[in-house]
Amino acid sequence: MPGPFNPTIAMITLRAVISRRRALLFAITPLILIALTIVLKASRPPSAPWPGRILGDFGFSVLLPLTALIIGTGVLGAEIEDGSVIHLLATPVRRSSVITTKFVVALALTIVFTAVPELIAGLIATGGLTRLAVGLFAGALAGSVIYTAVFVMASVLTTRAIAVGLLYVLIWEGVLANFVGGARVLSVGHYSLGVANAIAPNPDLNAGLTLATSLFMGAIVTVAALALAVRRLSAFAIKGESA
Amino acid sequence: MPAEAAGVIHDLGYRRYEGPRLGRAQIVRALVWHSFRTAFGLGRSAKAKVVPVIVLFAMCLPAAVNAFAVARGNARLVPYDTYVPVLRATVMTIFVAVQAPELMSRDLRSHVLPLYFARPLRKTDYPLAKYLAFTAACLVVIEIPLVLLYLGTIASVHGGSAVWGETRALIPGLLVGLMWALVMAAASLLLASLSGRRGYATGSVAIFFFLTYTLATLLINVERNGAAPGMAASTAVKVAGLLSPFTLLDGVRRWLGGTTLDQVPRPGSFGILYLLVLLALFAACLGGLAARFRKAGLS
Repeated sequence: MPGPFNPTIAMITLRAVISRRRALLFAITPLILIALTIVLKASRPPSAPWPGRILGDFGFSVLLPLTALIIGTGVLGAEIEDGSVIHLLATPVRRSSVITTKFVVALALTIVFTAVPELIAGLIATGGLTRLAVGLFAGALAGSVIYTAVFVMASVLTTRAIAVGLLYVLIWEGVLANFVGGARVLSVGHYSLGVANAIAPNPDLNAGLTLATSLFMGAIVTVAALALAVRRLSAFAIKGESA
Repeated sequence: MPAEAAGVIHDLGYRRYEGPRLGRAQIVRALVWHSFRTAFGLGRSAKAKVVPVIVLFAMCLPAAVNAFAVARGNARLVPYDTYVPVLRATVMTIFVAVQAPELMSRDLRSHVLPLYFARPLRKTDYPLAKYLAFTAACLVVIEIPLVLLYLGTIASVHGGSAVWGETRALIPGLLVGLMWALVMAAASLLLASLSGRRGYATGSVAIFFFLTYTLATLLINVERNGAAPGMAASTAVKVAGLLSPFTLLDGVRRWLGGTTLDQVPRPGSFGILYLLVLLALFAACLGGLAARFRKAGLS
């Protein structure tokens, strides 16, 4: 009985996603975050309240959602777009196993390109393994899980996952969740900030949710997204690109 | 037969064609028109129209709100030259990130470029046509809300001088919009032309605009808040705006005499630097676009 994780699919996906120039695309954003942290660390007085602002704001509202969006929709969406997914679906691999494997690969890549740089930037900014650095890392980990699940689901639901995802990230997460209080309960960015803030309370993070709400809602969103993705992939029909 | 020189249809000798033969100009014109329609998903499925419609709606919303407010006797809410800066930057980022790959990546992905270049189309005509079409599309998205804003305002003001005042305020706004369209179209098409996969093309355009914008505004805010009181806006604040196309455009607007406040502090003596960097960015994007299509049959 093979487990839900399929190493062959994982290898192929990994190779397809980070081949050639694409890895560069993912690497640029975290490098900018770290470079920015170094520059600010060197130029600002140590008491200035910037680490929470930069790492919380830039890390959680730009780095995390955009990287997760590209990787999450890329692991499965690219195959659906060019039609080669039919070869994958024709193999005797459970659809739930396909989704699990793709999700795990996307999650691992997202963590490498967002949560780890966030931790490094946090270590540099606060000068050691402080609560803020650990909190930001934990928040970024939680955000990676939820965002990746949501975007893997989006790539199964629609061929325009990246456009829809971009609208969602920039309008819902970027604008509504910050100005409309009620939208926070359904904002992945605020789940991550909630987790980070619970470990390292910091007003600069602008966290609006408690740890319990964040974890509870985050778990529900993740599981629901993956379950829906499995359901839709089970009844998947290959559609040509409509004119 | 002089007409044959401009002929486009390959004469293989099977059948004679006596009708008019259209040349390069008509091909470019057709390509511009087709690309312009593609930018709004016209002639394509309803799904392709979702993002353009949402974008236009979101951009026009402040103009509509303004029309109601002015009709109730308030002053005009939204300035012409900056419109609503954060909204415009966000919405334009979405528009170019989603639509520029529609114009660029699909042709690359389906390998039709050799077919285009088999016609009497010069190598620079293709990117030029795409650029003209996408600039026009960006202009539509940026300027229509401004015109609505103008119409909504003058519908409620009375007297020729008030209307004239609004018109005089509108014109710089339209020119700033033109500047935005020229720069955004060039940068987004260049980034979109680097990848045949729509997803990655969208991602790189979105990351470029959104990341630089967030970076610039964050740096400006951090530097402002961290500055010792009484100190004039530091050099770092003024230079941070050079990082992002949006803040560059705004810096140039301020330098040219725009008075409406925005996130970018007054560039002062750095204004010329903003202009130079903006021109360099613009030239680099156009040059890169032309260089990208120098070789036919690229993938």
